[in-house]
Amino acid sequence: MNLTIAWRNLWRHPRRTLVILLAVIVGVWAMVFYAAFIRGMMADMLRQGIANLTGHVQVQAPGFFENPVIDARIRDVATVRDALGSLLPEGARWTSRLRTGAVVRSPHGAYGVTLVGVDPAAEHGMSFLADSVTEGSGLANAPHGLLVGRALLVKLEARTGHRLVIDAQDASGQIVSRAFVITGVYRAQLETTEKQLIFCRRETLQRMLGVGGDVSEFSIVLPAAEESPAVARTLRERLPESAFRVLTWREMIPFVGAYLDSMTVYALIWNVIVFVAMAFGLVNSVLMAVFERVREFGLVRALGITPFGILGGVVLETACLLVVGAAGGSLLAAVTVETLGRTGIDFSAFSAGTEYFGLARIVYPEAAASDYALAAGTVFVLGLLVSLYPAVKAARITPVAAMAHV
Amino acid sequence: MTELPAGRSGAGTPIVEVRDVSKTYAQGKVIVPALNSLSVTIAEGEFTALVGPSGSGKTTLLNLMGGLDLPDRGSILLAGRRLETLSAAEVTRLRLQHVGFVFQAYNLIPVLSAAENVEYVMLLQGVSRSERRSRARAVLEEVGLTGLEDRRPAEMSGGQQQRVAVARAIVSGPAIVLADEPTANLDSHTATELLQLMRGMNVRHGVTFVFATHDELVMRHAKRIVRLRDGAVVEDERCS
Repeated sequence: MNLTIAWRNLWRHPRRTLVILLAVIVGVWAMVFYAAFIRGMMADMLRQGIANLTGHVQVQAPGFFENPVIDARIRDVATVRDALGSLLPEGARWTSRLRTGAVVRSPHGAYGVTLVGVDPAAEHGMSFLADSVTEGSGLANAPHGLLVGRALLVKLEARTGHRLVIDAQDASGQIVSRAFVITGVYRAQLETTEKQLIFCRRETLQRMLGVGGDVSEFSIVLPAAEESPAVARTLRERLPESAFRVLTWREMIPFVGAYLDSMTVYALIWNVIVFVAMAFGLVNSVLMAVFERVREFGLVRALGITPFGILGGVVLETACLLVVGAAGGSLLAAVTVETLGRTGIDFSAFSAGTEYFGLARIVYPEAAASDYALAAGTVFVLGLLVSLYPAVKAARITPVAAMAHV
Repeated sequence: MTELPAGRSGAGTPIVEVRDVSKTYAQGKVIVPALNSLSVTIAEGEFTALVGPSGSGKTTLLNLMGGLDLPDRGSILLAGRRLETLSAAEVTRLRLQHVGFVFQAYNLIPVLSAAENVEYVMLLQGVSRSERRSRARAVLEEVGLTGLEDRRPAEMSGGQQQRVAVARAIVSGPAIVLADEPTANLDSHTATELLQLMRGMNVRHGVTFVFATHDELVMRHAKRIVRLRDGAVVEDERCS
């Protein structure tokens, strides 16, 4: 019956209740949507980071991460292959690459780049490379083929079929040059990637640099990013520290990890800001409801309800409002996130600016259950807390004072 | 039909004893005396009217009898307990168990139906839902409101609302029902019906009623009239 009374009291002034209900709904929606937007952005940033030749875990030679030169390469490739074959969890994929700094030349200019030797077939599901070739046939059947980013191609004023000359330092320290044919053009999320990375077949680069079967890195992609620390720990136990260095994505792209870690704090701060705006309306609404019913509170006090009973009644009314508002806001947010999660929010017009932060051109919001729980929980708990002020005022009303109230 | 709570027998046993009570109110910086060394005893089964001009202290006395307020001096015994020695929570509990109220206006909770209004006090007393329902229906029938159980106050006349208030006041079998100007907002016909109803309760179930009023009609129905002036009893008359 207490719940019935609270619910009916709530609808004594439907318009007022609807206005404050709308405020709660919009508030919860804003909280969830912000969290979903940030989560989507961060998830994309992580996906891009992982796909940008990083992987979840890498095995490198000591010193390569700090100074990626050809001397810092893995010479005992078989040991790593054995370890990966026996230690990786089911569903994990891996590939090896050889990287070196190089200069690419065309008749129209020369640019410093990173030349990456890859196994084209093994890159599927490992990096952005397999799905980003927009022109040409790629590297599959081209021993001296070169895959160039669209942005670099424009700078070189070249196109597929053109020859480019690559200069690089080989294993003995000599500068070697080789002509490659552009067999493919790729597009990446970030323009800087297109300008910086060019790809050829791994064995071609190994021959050009005279490193035999040596590679710069083994990149591993796991079924879930959360498995990275455990896999890295296992590999570290197997691979001697003197010859190998095992890194997780958090160590290779620390800013992404830091963003992800701070996301909950950002969401909480945003929630509090939204709530403070909402709280003024809520307190005002509940206070009005209390002042309108002074005589009624006096009556029920005379009948025998305790001040705590009055306080509980007012808080219960607020709780009803908050539950409905939180449910409505969550539902609206779910619909919005579901819709925009499929279509994405296009920031192409601002991509030049957002790329500096490693952000994607299209953000796909994705909400977790915890986002809904955090928003609804924030509104519910803080809402009840602020409603205590008018509730205490109501509880202090005495029957005699209420009867004298005009 | 569910039995109404049994009336209290043994007329003559004091329900409320007001002993040498004084009470003042502050209106700004001015202290206004409301009661001045007043003593009066209400016994079980009485049908008493406290009468007097405005400001004579009727409502103040009624509030003190019901434990809604405390005296500055003197003592009040309600159902054998001295109110001034009890905590606020104990007074509230005592009021809930032993006192019924009927006010002049704002008597009912607007969001509840007639039956729910009657049930409300029993809800506070912790009576089970099924018992609340059956007792509420029975007492509404007793006050002649069969068929109006589900109506909200706004859908009832003033007289019907006061009947619901009376039903709520007596449903738990209180030791005393305190009624402050219960007929003030009613026409004479409706007021007479209401008074007859309460008198019937008094006779059939032995419910003790005390009215604060200056309505001649109430005085005509009362079996005892206590006249107040300037916060003191000036006449205590038993009527035949």
